[in-house]
Amino acid sequence: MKKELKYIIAVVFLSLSISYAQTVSYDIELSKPGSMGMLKVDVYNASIRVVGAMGGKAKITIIDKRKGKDKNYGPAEFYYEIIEDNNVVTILNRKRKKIDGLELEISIPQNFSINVSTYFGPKIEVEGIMGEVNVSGYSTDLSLTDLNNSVIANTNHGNVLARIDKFTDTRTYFISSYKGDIEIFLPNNVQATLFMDNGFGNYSSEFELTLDTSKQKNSSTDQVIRKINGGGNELKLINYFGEIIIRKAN
Amino acid sequence: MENKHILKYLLDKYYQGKTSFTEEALLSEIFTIESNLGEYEKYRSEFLYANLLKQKHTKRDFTLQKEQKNNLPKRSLLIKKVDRRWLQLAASVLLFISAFSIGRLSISPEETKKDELTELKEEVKTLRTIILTTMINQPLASDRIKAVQLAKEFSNIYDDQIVQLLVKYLNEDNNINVRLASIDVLTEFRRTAELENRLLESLLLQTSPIAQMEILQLIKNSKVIVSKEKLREFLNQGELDPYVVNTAENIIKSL
Repeated sequence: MKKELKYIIAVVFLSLSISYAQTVSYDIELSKPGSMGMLKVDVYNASIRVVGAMGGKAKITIIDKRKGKDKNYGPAEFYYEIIEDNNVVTILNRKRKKIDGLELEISIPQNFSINVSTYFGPKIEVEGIMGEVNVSGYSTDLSLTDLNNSVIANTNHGNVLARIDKFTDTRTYFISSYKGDIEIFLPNNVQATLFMDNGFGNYSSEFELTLDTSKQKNSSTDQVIRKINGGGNELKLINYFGEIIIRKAN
Repeated sequence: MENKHILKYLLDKYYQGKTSFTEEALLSEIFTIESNLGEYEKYRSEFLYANLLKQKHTKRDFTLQKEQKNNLPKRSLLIKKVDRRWLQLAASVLLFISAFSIGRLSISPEETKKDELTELKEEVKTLRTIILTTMINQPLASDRIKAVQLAKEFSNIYDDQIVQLLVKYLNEDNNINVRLASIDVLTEFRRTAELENRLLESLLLQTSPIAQMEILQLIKNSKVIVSKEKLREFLNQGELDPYVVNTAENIIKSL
């Protein structure tokens, strides 16, 4: 009897969890499978997770974890417009309303570049993308890993964590957060010149930082310029109230 | 070297697979015309195929031109059929070739021909202006940041056309970091009352506190006196970050 009761409780919990997190997935056929492309996401709500995957397909999953009054605004999948045109996958909001508990999980080919932004979404996570990563949010934490290309990231009140696997001279690296911390991991042998502008925060580094004596100081700006391993391509980091932490990847 | 910078920029973009039709044609043209490109010589062979295709259209191919002569439509019809992109390309190529000549002139015995050099520098500036104007619509923010950074080399002189374009990026780009990059470049420009006014106008359009703070810092560190009224207008907008308000009020007090 006890065993049966356990099964019943487990089934009830399972059905509760299904109704709690409703999930809808869409497979997106690309116009040019295998070719480079672009993901554009501009939504008002939703945590967003973007993963670079092998293969020539894109998949979008909408996870609905809304509670209370937020559940009254109709099915979550009706909130988003999804378009594929010439290997550009675009996700836009139909409703511009603050709703908590929505998540977008997006799987795209690794060789795509991404341009992802959310206003109220609490988090943007990106991993395994070989193209350019361009993300922005308002109160949004940014977690970016496996970065191999240009990184342009901005948030107003969130923290930024960026793991750059490959830092090269031809890419652009520009990360900013008004009130959040910026924690950045760089390869041990990286050669970079840091341009840091953090008015009221602090910065620390696991690398030895040296002065850049070649640059003429511009009196109009308060930025600090430091070199890692002799200097190299620019890494621009701006925040006003948070910490800037530079870490070694290994 | 300005020209080297442009070539490097185009090559970087090409190998990322992000160049436009016009930019690839520009690269092809450079490798056809320029005989010694030093460290960039290794890329020449890569562009041979493009050169071969292009030869069909070049004026130097007299044979082909002769053969085609009888088949040419009337002038008015020909103009109508010309793709606008080709006209833009032709203009860009001419400017780019001129820009490239600067490097050679600067090491040639004719260095004293200052007028010619000034003229060519003006053409380089025009090319930069074209790049700034056209790149504003590029989908990747890194391209737009690179375009903005190209304007840095004109910071030693105040050029209102370049400043206007930078302010356009500052006011209209949908990416905050592109806006911040344009502020960064504007800090390098000589401070004039005109520039301060443009920055004040721009301040009224910014919604991001980080962009507002960067502009206010720029105004604060400037020795040019700015309009208190504009700053008050900005403060009256409401819903500003407390520290932004504090900084703007301190600037007003110091004026």
